[in-house]
Amino acid sequence: MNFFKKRLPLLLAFFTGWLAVILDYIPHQNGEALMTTITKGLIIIGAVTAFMGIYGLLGHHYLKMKRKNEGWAYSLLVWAGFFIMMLFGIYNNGEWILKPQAEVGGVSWIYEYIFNPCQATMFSMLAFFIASAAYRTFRAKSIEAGILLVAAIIVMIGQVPVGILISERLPDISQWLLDYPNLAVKRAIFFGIALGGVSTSLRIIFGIERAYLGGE
Amino acid sequence: MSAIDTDSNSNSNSDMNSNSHNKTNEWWIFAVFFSIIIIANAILLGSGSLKWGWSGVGIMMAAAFTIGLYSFLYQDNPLFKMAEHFYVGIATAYLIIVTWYSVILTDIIYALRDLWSQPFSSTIFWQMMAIILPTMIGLLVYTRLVPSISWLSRITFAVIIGFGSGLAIPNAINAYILEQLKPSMMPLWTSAGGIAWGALVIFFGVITTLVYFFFSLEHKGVIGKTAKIGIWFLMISFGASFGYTVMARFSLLIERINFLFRDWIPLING
Amino acid sequence: MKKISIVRSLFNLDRRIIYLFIFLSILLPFLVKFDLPIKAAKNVRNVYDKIEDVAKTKGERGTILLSFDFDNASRAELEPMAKAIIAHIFKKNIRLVVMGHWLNGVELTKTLLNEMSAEFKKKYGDNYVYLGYRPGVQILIVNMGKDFKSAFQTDSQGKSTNDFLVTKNIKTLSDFDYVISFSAGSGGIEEWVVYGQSKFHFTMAGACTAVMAADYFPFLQSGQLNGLIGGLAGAAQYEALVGRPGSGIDGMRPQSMAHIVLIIFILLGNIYYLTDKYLKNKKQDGGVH
Repeated sequence: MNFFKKRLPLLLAFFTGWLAVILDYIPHQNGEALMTTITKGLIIIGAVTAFMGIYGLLGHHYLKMKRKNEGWAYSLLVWAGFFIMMLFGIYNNGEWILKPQAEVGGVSWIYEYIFNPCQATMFSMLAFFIASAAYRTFRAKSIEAGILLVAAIIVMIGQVPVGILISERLPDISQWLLDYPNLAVKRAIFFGIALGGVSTSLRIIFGIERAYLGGE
Repeated sequence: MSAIDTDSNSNSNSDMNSNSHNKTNEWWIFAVFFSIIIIANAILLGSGSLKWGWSGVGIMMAAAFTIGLYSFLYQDNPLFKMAEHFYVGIATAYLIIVTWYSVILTDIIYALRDLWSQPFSSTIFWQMMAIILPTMIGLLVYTRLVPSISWLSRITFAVIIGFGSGLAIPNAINAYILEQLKPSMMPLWTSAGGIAWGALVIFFGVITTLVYFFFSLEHKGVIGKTAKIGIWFLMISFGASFGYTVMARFSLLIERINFLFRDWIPLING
Repeated sequence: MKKISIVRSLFNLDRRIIYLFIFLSILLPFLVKFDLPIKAAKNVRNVYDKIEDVAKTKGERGTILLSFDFDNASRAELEPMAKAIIAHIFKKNIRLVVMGHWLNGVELTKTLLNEMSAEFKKKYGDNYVYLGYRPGVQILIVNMGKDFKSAFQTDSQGKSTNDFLVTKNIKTLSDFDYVISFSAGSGGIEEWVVYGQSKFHFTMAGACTAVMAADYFPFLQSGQLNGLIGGLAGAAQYEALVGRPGSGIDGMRPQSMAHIVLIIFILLGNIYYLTDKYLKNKKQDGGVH
């Protein structure tokens, strides 16, 4: 049993990992067909597993309500939002769940007039926070901080139309900073991402990294 | 000791004061919020700027959620939390709805139905298996809900993570290293054009930044000086990213203000 | 000591005062109209030129794939770009295929396509198709690159992609004349470049939120991306190129003003910091002597 619980997943990761590497380098017709079938299968697996995270979230709020923890009424709102949206999703504008999703109906309305403003507003608040934080902390305390500050101001002005009104050269300077020094740094970071990604992948394939398998 | 006690007493007193102050503020926030929503919508409906109907009610609803969430800018309050939690519930249901209609229905149920309606053959059988097998592997993840067989879910994770990791190796090397190395190796000097300043800046930028991230060597002497230049390059890049981030954040706020003062309250013309 | 406390009280602004200034810096330029010069950057122009080129070389058989890899959180930045590009594609009678890696973006994509197709009187299936969302990102891109019809047997309504004029002859990703990813983060441009463009070698561009724009410049120089549109300013530039002013150009007045106000705040913060430091040093010097 220990084999099935511990070794089998590691062997599967090893096998599927190397299969992906090998298939990537084989331009043979059968290899291509196998790659197509496997990737399509993984898309289906991805869809089937998508609901798992929801259980955790809704379960957490259910427990909060059951135990009457502080703020349990907010958890009730999570469930209310969930149920209302689900009802419209299942009803599907009278077509029910075995027909394609209706173009109009409750889901579209809730998406446009509740989901959209909520998500957009939450992220737009960052504009206020970034302004307040910049005022309090964006200080030229050293040469490095000074360089950061000047580059930020040049890009901030140079990338919007008002930059041309201040100086015709400003957008060009801003573009130069992005095209050369910024590009160089981002490229060096890309090298780091690639090497880090490859080493992590190898650790997974060889069973050194096992955190993704959960506890025990 | 007594000084500490006094401090803690005064702290708890001030906490209590600020708590009660916050509670009073919370009622004020509710009162101001509902006043704004009721009065503004009444005027807008009365003046004909907003029309009754799904669209009109939708705009009123959207405005209420927007202002409710913005109330957080004044201070954290129940109105914000209510809107936030309701939104989380909706988002969760939306995930299920889209996954169902976009993938499960089309790629599993409809696909199997279409195959089932065709005359049976070995090709059809394998095509059906190509759908059923991944569905079964995917369903194994739900064994996590039953502790005694939860280990079965590891099979699903192993397949997804294993294949994904394998796929990442050749593609990351190709896209991030090989493709990126090519333009980094451009001639820094040509007899026709002289020194290629742009290529030179990129070349030194990449080298010095990499040296900075090389922590196995102590940053002293030549390495230290090179790493220092690397930091300057990093600062320019971070500054540029910050400048762009500011642009992004303000753009989001612009859209919200545009909604509130154009679609809801018609203050902005055109 | 007194001077320091005066300086500190002057500059120690309540955060809500800063919020108010930011709010006004955005609202007021909407109310007061003034024109700003909008000049397209070369990375934006490259996208425009490529679409013109597809129209010239392929005519009505040209097919462009747009991947909507964003949701409501960045709709303000990416929707104006998408509108301007779709308008350009529809004006040139190029076939359009739309898909998405982001689950939360499905509804907004449908709304946008309905609106644009109605405006340009385009017929579903003959001029454009919406494929919908599929999970997997990297896996999906590889799958599309190997066999497009495997990844998308049907559109978002469950109709076979073999039945549409637009998708009938598409076999792999390489059959698209141009691919543009509208991206707001992970599951967008980067994955398209790494698992798509670098592997299957099609021409592609990125349209992204300003937050990410600076990150993709290496892809431009290496030719993995042929163009890049960043943020609302990029959207405004594209709107100017296609001659269709929209929320991008409209947003440039508040955008510019808000940037100036923020820079003033940053400079004030630095003046405070330097004054405070100077007064502290002076006090210390006074104490030593």
